[in-house]
Amino acid sequence: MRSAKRSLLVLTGIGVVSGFLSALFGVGGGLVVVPMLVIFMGFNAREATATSLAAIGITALAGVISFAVLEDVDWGAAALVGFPALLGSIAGIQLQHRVTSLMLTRLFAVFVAVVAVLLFFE
Amino acid sequence: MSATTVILALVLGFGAGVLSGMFGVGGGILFVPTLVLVVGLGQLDAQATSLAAIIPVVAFGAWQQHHAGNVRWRIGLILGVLSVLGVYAGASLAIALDEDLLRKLFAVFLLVVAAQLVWSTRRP
Repeated sequence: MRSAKRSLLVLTGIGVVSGFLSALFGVGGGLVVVPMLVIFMGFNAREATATSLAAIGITALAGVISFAVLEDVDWGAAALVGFPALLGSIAGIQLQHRVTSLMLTRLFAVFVAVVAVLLFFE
Repeated sequence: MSATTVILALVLGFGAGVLSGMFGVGGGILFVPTLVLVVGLGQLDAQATSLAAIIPVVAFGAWQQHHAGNVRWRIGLILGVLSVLGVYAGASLAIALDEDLLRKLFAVFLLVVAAQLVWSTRRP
């Protein structure tokens, strides 16, 4: 019982932080959910990633509804990047099993950092 | 939206999906810059639109992972529902902030993501 209460408290914390970041930045929040499920709930990495997808679906839906009520959602643009991304993610998961390496992850990190700088000075 | 923009958005959307599948980071960190830098949306519209684009990607991902038996649904659903509390606060703040400041904050957030990616590769 005590551990169930603790779990609920931990889940509330993870949920609120990830929801906040998700809506603030328009991202899923998996970045927060996955490591926290591993650290605080004892999930293995695979379960944490899979479970975070279920949570993010609800988080993103709530975010879209909030913004659709308060602001504009460009549905055409969402479909334009969302559906090819869906196909891309299938290819990406296949590739992950074959080619992901430390070097590639670091290259990707550099790419993300370059995008960050471009966006900062946009 | 010009034909070039549409094609570029399709290609970059696909690329964002490939990268998110490969590196396990959400599509959002790539959708938002694509929508701002290529499609030309404002930061706030890009973020709202990114959240909409994330839904089909994670829904399909969750369905695939469900078949692999990796999803712990009870925890995932509880977490998702609790996240709504934070979503409201985050959306309100995003709307209240100056858009230029929001974009710069997002850029800083991206740098943190990049650092975390590098950190994740440290291993004996």
